[in-house]
Amino acid sequence: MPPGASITAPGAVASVYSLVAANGSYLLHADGRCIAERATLDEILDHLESTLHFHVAVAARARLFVHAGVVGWNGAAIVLPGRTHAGKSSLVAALVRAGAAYYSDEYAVLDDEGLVYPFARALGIRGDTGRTRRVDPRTMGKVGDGPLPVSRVIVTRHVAGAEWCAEPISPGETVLALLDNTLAARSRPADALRILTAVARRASGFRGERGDAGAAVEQILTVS
Amino acid sequence: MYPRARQHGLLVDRVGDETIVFDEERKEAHSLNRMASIVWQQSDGKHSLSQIAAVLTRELQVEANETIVLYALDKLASVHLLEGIDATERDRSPTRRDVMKRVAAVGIAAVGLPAVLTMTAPTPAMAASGDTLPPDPGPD
Repeated sequence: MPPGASITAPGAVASVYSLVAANGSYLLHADGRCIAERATLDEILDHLESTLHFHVAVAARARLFVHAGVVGWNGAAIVLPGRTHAGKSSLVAALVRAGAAYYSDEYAVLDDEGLVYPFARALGIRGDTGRTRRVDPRTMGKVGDGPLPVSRVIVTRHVAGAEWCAEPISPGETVLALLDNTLAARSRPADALRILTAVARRASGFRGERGDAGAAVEQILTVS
Repeated sequence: MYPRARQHGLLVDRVGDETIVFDEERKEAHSLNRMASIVWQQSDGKHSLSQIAAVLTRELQVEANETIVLYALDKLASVHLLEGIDATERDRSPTRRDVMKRVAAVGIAAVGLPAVLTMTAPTPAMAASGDTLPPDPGPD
């Protein structure tokens, strides 16, 4: 279930999911339609979890979900927006091992004032084979437990062999970088604009490429 | 020429010296730097090019002229933030090279040319990731 989920009284059913074991693999159905097939139960459950998180992120009204990694550092949050395969999870994991508090490797969950909340699902670390394994963040370091103001927004992606190189970006560019990863950018543009400009007024923005996550950690924690 | 900023279908906010504009019709977001912001704000259908240039000169402490205003207007028109600027008028707009030639001596280059950054707002699936969403083609 999504972090922070609680059991409530039954209401209208939005979707029905079912898992089917068949011919040595596992199928995930949504409303009777097959939406995924995986070789192992863990993998299909992982897909179900991501799907549920996505629906929560799209349907949320009291919060704005931005696809991003998030860690807490010195009483403020560092937000790393980016799409899948940008290397967010490995970077977040390296930051947590270096002493930052884990908030999320998937979504920055923002309130009306631009504060970011924990969405501390198990970290998804992609191995050399491309498979993702889930890691309990508590085995790696601290896990954040309250809202934080955002001090830095760092737009970076992994490029093999690249040296860390990040340039400051303007508050306006920072807003666009966050909006580019905002799930409700089209459905709630007024909310998105208000919240993301609140973030950008307080935070410093940077953009650049990085190589190995471990090598970029120190620069990310100290860039200003 | 009395340029007029588009009013309808836009959400507008400010951050620092920049203006953020969300075009609800085209699902695009724009970030206008300080100079483009001033030109857009002054484009109320009542100010001429020379009057807008005078505002730029006063606000930015540089010697602005109509060439740079036209350049800014071209940037704004290209992303549909102006009313009634047709293709013919845009064809007469100066290029970046024209502007740099004409403004190098008057200090505009030091504060930056008018600039508009644009992005198309993502759908939820684009903003999230490719691997969480149905339909799914199958195993990795």
